[in-house]
Amino acid sequence: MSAPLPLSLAAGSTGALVVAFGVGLCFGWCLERAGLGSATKLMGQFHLTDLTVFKVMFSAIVTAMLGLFWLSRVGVVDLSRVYVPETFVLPQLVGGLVFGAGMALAGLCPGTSCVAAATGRGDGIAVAGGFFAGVLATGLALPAMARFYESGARGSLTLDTVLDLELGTLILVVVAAALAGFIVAEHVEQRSARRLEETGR
Amino acid sequence: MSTRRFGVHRALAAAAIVLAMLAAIAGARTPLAAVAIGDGVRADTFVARTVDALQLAAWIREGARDLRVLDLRGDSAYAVHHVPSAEGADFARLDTLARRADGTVVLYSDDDVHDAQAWANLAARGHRNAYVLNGGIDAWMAEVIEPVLHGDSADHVAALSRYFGGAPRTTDARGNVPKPGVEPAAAPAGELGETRRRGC
Repeated sequence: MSAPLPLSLAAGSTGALVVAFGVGLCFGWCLERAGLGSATKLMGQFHLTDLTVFKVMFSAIVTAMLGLFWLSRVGVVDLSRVYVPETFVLPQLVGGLVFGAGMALAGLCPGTSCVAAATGRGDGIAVAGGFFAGVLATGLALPAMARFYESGARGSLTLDTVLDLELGTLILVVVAAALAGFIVAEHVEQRSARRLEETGR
Repeated sequence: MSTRRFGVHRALAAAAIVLAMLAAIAGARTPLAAVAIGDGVRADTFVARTVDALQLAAWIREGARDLRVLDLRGDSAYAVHHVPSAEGADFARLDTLARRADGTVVLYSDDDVHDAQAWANLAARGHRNAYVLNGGIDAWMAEVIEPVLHGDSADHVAALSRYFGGAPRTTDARGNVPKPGVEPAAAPAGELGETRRRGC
């Protein structure tokens, strides 16, 4: 999803890039402050000992959902002008699997690897270099796999249309699920911490 | 400290659930903004107007006044081929165009994103005669340069195609479409005869 066009209209193309750069810096700062520049932190997610990633990401989703919804209701943001990337079922499924495998192996995702690299971590620099190389290789190989890349096109899908729910109802469901998830995550973390204490580690 | 942080978390969670419940009450299926886009045009009319390749070809051939065709694919793609009379353009150029909100502008690219975004950009600035070429440059090639002729419009399409140096194609007796630049293979005598009889 990219920024609504009025941003580029008000600030011009260069201004929009400057704003995007500023937003990126803020995002990176938040990731770093949340501890997500550390691969150890991310690996805690897979070991169920530290669910910070889950909590940070779901907090971001809830904040963005509520923010965009209410900003649109008061006429500040026009949701119809927010670009929603198209869905390509199989290519995105395969891409998601590759992404997930890479994240589990590296302990970092693209955003957090940039944050880690910015803080001088060697693993962050390696992962960031790796994904830039991967993007380049994919771009070069794209003509050969164009048919697969464009298969299973479903257009721009949003959850409310797929589930046939009103947007407000969907938001309530997602927020409730997120809050329930946070409670469960806290319990899982506490149980993991107790188990670690019991085993003396 | 921990208790205080827990209190903040609870307050934020309560705020989120309240806002979400209010959203459920106030929510609409399509929360189109009430943002007016100049001249009273509302956001819910913000769907790109399109023009078909054949219609654009007709406009160009007729020498439609104040028609500007903008190619958004970049210099290298433009250099390979482009719609006749089209100008290479980028988003920065749109600002100039928007200030001169007169005449008809047709935008095209080789995807469905850049032209639609450029159209929305122009429309938001009050340009009322902007169109997106339906299907982009691929549609121009398929429908104007290498069209497959059929139906009542075949003569019209063939004339348009030849005007732009195209190579209109017809299906052979087997119903196959020859590849671009390849003449249809001669049909076996029997099939050709049957075709002639049907024609009579």
